[in-house]
Amino acid sequence: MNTDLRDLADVDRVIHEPARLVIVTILYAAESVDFLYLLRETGLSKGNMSTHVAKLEQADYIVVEKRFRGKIPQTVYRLTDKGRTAFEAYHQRLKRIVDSTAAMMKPQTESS
Amino acid sequence: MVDEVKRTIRRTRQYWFVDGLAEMSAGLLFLVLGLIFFGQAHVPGRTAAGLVLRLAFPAVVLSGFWLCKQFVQGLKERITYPRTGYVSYPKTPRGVRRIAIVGSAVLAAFIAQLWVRYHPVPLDWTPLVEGVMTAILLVIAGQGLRRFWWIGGFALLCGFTLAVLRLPGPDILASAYFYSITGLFILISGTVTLWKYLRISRVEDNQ
Repeated sequence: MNTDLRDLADVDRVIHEPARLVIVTILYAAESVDFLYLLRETGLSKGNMSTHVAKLEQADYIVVEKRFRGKIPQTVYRLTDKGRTAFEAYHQRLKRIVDSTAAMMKPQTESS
Repeated sequence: MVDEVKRTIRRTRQYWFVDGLAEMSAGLLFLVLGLIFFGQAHVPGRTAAGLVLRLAFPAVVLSGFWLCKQFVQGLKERITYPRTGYVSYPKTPRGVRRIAIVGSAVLAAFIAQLWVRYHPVPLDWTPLVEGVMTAILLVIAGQGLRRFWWIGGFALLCGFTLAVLRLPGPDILASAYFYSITGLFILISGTVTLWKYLRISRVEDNQ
């Protein structure tokens, strides 16, 4: 197995799942977001969302905070330092794979 | 997938402007600045009213950003968060913020002093300089949103037109027109955005 393929095999599977990747990416760009925002942005059902969020919480990638906005309960999510580092490492790895694949494909495209 | 990550990050950052409230507050701030300049153009500087108007400009600039943020935050609590969700953004560290505020104030004072002494370009071109600066600020703040490019373009056009027209009367009058017209345009853009946002979004159950 060459280095790039090993890179691909070693990606963080907690983050690599598409729905969780969207959740972590949103939390990376923001300081904190609530359940409603995540629900709308991911397009997931409430049940699916809760499952993905629980997985991220188990991995210590996010923290969940329950609070009140006036009289309305609000669940707020925040990326932990561990989650931030994991996302950055994942993103770097993915970029490296994409770049090296593009570089490998280029001579083939030019020669054909 | 890498592009999708970038798009998601950008969309999350753009969410601050989804409801047009930030634009509305910026437009109001510009309108107030325009009114102050109109006042300065018509009230003699040596009178008490003139002195108040001269002090009002830095006071409005310094307190305006903080007031706008409170205004926008308060309205978002009522309008945006119950409809499309809550997002808070990373705060700039307090030390960095203080350095940026003090640094900007010192730089602005220095440039103003140079301007008054040497007039690097004829004073009629002030609105063009204001237009360029406003356009740059709007485009940077807009996080790639197309309507901010339009507003920036309008600010530039407005500044250029006023510079070419060379309005009769005190020099500051051109600035007054620039801030009032640009402010009104930003306010209208924000109002239209809010109207569109309210039409497509409903209050949802958070849990």
